Amino acid sequence: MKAQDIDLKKLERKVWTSFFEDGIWDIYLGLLLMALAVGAFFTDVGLTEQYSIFGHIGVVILAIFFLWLGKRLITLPRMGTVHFGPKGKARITKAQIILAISCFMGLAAFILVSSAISNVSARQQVMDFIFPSFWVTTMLVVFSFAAYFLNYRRLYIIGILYAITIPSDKIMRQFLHIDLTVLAFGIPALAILIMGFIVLARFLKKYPLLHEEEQNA
Amino acid sequence: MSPKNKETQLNQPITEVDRIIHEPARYLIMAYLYVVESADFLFLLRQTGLTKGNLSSHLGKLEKAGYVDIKKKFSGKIPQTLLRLTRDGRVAFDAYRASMKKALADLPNGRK
Repeated sequence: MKAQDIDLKKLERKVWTSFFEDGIWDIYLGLLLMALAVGAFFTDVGLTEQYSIFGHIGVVILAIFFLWLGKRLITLPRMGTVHFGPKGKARITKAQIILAISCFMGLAAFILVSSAISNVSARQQVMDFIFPSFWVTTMLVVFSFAAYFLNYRRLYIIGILYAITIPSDKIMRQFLHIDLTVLAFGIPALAILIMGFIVLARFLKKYPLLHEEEQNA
Repeated sequence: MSPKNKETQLNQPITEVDRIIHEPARYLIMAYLYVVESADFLFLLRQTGLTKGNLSSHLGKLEKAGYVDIKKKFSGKIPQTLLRLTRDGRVAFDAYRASMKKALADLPNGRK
């Protein structure tokens, strides 16, 4: 391609997607799902709910630190800094608004449906069928919207991996009689983490660290 | 109209092209800076694939033409060179693209 043939829209997309080229967000999302697996593991081995909550919160904190430090210590020294223009900012705002609305509406619908049912067996039905369906729909919708508006295609796969967790837990319990929630959350989380680390390894290979004097004009 | 004037008028779109931007590496730099608000030297180095010396030299020319604003600052203890297109740079880039499009659109289809 000659320089003068550059399609500015494609170039803008290339600059934007470079923001997700490091795999740090994938690892962060993988760790968030792993936090649920850790919480479930503590419950599965018979520890009290407090341990489960501490385990969950511990991994969430680790994920947040990884995201913050990863961007600061891995991405910026290798790829440099870029401030996106109004279009980029509008894209982030649009994705945030859609995410917030879908999460709020989904949560409100679930609370309304489950609180409206007083009968115990009907409540069990909600937990067995409505909640997994609600979870799958919410995860697929939220992640697909985010993937589309942020132009971050791996989010479609991450959304599917998030979506299958609760139905696979129900299937394992009901049909295989296996009570291991840790596997239902842990395996998809591990898949996301492996994907993230592969992307990160490629990023590190593509952008080796430069000496300080090479980084400036 | 004299033949010389007619020829000058025919050649006008291509001779009026901004030669500062016409150089491929400088066009590439301006295109990257056009689609963002600002970026640092390292980001442009990575994205354009130019060498450090080459990028510095082209940025110097673009700064001299008033198309790029270069600011040096420190981010903690690390020096950072921040780059952004000036208003004149954006106008010149738009004008360059328009004039190139016009010059190329006016060409007749080639005959074999």
